[in-house]
Amino acid sequence: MSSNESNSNSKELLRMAGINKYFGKVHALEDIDFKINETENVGLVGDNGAGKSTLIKIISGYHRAERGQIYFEGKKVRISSPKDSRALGIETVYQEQALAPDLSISRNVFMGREPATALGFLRKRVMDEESMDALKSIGLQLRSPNINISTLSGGEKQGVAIARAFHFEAKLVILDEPTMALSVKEVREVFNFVNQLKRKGIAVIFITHNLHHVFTISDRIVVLSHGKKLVDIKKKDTNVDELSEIIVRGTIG
Amino acid sequence: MKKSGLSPILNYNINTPIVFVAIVLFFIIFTPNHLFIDLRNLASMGKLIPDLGIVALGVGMLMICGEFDLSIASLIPLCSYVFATFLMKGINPALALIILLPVGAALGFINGTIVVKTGLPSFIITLSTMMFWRGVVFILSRMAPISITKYIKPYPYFEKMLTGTIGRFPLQVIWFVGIAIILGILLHFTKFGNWIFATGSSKGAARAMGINTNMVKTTCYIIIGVLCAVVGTLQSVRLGSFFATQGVGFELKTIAAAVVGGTSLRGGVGSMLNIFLGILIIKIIENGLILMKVPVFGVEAFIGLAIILFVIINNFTQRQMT
Amino acid sequence: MYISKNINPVNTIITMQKIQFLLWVQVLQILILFSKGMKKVKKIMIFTIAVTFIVSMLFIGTSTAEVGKSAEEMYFRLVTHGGDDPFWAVVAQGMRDAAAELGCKAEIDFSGGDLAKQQKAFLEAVTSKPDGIALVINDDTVWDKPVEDAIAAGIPVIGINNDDTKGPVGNARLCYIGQSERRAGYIIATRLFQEGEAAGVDFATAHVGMAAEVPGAMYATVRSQGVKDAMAEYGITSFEMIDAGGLEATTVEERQTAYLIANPKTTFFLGAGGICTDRILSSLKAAGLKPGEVIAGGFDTAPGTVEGLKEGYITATIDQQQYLQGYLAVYTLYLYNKFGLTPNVDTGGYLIDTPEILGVIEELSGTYR
Repeated sequence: MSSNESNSNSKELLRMAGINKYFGKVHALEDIDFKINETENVGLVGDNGAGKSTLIKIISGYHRAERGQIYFEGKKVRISSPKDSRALGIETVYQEQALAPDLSISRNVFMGREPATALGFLRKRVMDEESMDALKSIGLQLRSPNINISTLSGGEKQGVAIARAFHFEAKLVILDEPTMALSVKEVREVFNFVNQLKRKGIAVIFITHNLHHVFTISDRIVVLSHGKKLVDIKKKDTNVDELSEIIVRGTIG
Repeated sequence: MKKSGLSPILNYNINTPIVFVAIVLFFIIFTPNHLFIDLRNLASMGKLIPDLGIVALGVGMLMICGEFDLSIASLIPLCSYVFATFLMKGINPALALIILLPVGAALGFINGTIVVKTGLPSFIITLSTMMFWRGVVFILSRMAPISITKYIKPYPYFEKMLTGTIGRFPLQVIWFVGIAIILGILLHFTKFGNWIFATGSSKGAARAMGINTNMVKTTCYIIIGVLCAVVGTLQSVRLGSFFATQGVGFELKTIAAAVVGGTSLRGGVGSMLNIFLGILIIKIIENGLILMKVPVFGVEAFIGLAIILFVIINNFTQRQMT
Repeated sequence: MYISKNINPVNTIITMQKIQFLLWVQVLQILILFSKGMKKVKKIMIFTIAVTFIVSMLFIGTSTAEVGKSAEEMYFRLVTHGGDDPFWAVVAQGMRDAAAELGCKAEIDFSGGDLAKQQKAFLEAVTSKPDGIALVINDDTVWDKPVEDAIAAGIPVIGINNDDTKGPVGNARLCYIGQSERRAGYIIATRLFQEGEAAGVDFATAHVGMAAEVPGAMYATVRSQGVKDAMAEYGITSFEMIDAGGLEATTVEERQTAYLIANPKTTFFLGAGGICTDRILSSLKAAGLKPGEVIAGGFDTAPGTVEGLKEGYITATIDQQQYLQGYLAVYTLYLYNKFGLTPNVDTGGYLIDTPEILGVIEELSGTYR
């Protein structure tokens, strides 16, 4: 059960062909073909050790594949570091790592990419205004850009991270387990933010264990297991029970 | 989540200035004959506090980015020894100081490199470098003091600029405040300052966002090294000699000052102004207690109590803010 | 550790030649052993080699002993509790100079005030079989047995710098070379009080302040006892010990200045140790005092103290002549080995209060005094 047709309405954004990754003797990823189109929302699912994080780390530049090619917007690219990845317009939102708890929203959004004068002085006003704009764009209402991240709820924190990706004009945003440990209400908030991204034309890779979440938010679902691609199927062509059966059995049925 | 008042908006710990004003008023009122305000006392404090203070500013900044540096206690006498040696070789003191600054930077660089390359707790690493350099100083100097007054005498301007006075006002205060302002601007208003906070608050997040945390930490260590060179020179010019026991005890006093000034031991939280006030608070308490004729062995006990108290208060209000 | 590098070359060469000759003999025998193949001869060869080897070892061993040791062959150990201040650098220098003059070897141990570490050093010294040990006896009971044992094992032990409070009755050390701390305190205090008398001070209301780097330490307590002895003679009753906050010069100056400002009634001010005394000049000035307003004095001749004497802020200081403690320790042990002499020498209490003496001291300050 695999589908390789792209959504006929949008262009191909990212294509990975024949990706193989080894960690020593461990064959972490085996002949992975992965594709995502502009404005598409793909859910990446699989149990622990399936290779999900390895795959996205290759996309975001932390790892390099031993074999395989990556094409972005139709052109072959080399992603050898997080900088390369970001330069292409790929933003990754990691689960816990993206935000510094003691810093303000404004300082967090621009962490590492602070707008500054020639001498290095922060353009505080720019930072404050633009961070608030970014939050608004994804529908997150917060009082001030100067409040500490640690005072925000889980959902709001994800919102800030997503707004950051949005602000830097990502073409592709990768969300690594964004709904982990969030309350029902907070999960709903995150879904709203993600939908906003879609409305702005940004493609999303959404990684999770939770099949229900994937079905709510994604257009297409890719299942990995033991480093191999099990399933690549459109949401409308399957359902939760069928999919979980496949995952549990670990075989293509 | 509860958000209380102004503090979280500014992320500035209001406690420290409040405590500062409180103890200043306390000692003004309660020292016999208001001796605290006596010009001689103020002049003495202004002359002597910067020795500890200048280095403490750097140590506090390093703590904000999540590391410690205990070796300052030995870098100060080491730099002082090198300075004295230059003078004995006939080098102009101003030139000696200028050469000493990159020497201090190099010493700081060594600390920083060991810390980032090994990934071991900086407390332990700088404790070892502290012991190492102190051993070096002891061996090189044979623990004998070196009198440098005669080398400084032919250069009165040098001495005046470093340790002179305008009327009663000691110039060391200007150096201290000046360095505090420069470091404060660096910490709170520049890109690099944001990197310091980010590195201390969450090294993982900082690295994920492309900040070179190793470079940030090493730079902070280098800054401390330079400050040690400055203090080593200032001290020996004022003392008129090099002593192998210079700087003893500074390693913990600087950390205490930073902590009293609201700097978190875990990193990511702190303010240069508060570190500056923290230094003053500790020294003022010490000074005030002696003026109030607290018995001999009581002074140390009181200072210790005061520090514990502040740590608890700061921690408590920090929790209130989050 | 400071090691004397002057070993007499002639003796060494002679011994080396003896060893070389014997080694050649044995090499020769081994060659003969392997060149002939006969079993009987082999046995005889092995026997002779073994015997020669043993005899030669004894030969080398006794050849040095039977002559009767010259200074060049002697080795002395100084086991001290020092380390952290310039005082001990001078002791070590004295030891080095004496060893250089005599041509013997001498080493000094520092334990930085750690009694356990010092005890360990003493035991190590004993096992190294020196020709004598000079020990800082800074405790009345801990050293009794170790010294007794060492002497019984044939190693002479003398006391330096600090002595058992009961002297020869309390400890088996052969003699003592050092300063009587209590007497030193008495001497400096008396000198200051004499100055006060000349200035017309009212002793009934006089106040004595004494700043100590480490107020609880033995040196501070014993010296202050001496000060109080002198106070008793002059009828002064008001005394206060000041915690100067350790060895760090800036802290010491801060605390002394604050004390002087807070206690304007202070008539006499003493430093218990070298660092405190060094900072007296700056502290008095910072407190706005003129020379002579407070009569001050203390110990040792650190640069600041010398300045203070010159500017008249400090009346006198005690030079412990600790150079002699190192120097005479080596000589005493040597002379004991040679003639069995055991002199008791009080090296301290040398009062420096006139410009002439000062001139000499200044020249030597830091290295020899």
